[in-house]
Amino acid sequence: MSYILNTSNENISPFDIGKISGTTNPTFNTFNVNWLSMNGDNINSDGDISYYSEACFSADTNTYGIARITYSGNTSNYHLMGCQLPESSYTGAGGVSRGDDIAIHFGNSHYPNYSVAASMTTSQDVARANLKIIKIEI
Amino acid sequence: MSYSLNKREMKVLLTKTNNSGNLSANDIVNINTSSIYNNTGCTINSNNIVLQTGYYLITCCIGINNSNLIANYADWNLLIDDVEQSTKGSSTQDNKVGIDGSTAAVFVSSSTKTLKVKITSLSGTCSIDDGFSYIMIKKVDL
Repeated sequence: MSYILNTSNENISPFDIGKISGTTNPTFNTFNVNWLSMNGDNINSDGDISYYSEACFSADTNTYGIARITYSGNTSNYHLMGCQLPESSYTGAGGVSRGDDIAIHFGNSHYPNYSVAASMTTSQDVARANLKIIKIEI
Repeated sequence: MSYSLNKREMKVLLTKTNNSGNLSANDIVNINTSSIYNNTGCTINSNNIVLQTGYYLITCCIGINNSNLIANYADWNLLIDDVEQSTKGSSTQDNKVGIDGSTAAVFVSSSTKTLKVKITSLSGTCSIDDGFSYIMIKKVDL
């Protein structure tokens, strides 16, 4: 009988930070671990292993928006959604805005996106926007 | 014959900042060496944290005091062995959505790496409110 040694490696980490690549729209399509892959809009885990994620959206300009993560096509049973609201002391919609709220999801398929958006551009500050990825079963 | 399953669990370090005075660009933020909780085995020094081997998810949120113009802001980032990471943090800022934490996933395969928090850019007179500022480290052993 033989055994395969379970070696440590960066790409099997239970943690990762998803980033936006190639577009400033909120599509978190860049990650480092080897147990995730893109399937259309979804970030799927190998072997249907459920994982947890936090999406921190960071819009570049005026913003009212509700951010969420769920799997593509789902319209119910959302987990916690994130809220982005303008700060009111400046005139004009969203002259100064705040976005310290995150959307979370637990499942084997994740699609971070804006559920509702008004008076805003959804273009992101890609240096700030991030998707924290945590595999619970380790 | 019996086998021992190598079951791993997530460990946590949570501490606050310990910074005083007005900020300047390129400042390294001082850290409270008395953690709120720490079972990671990592060592907290006055302006850095030494990471032992393991997988890490690190987040740093900083509360910025801004006594004059609302346009003032501060950006910060995590340094791993003095290298800036890909996701910076920022206080609220004109025409931006602000108050985002800086974050990084870090792999320490051998020896150690050193974590610092750096003020990467600054506008106006700002300081850190330690009561609203923290470093959270999640760790899984190799």
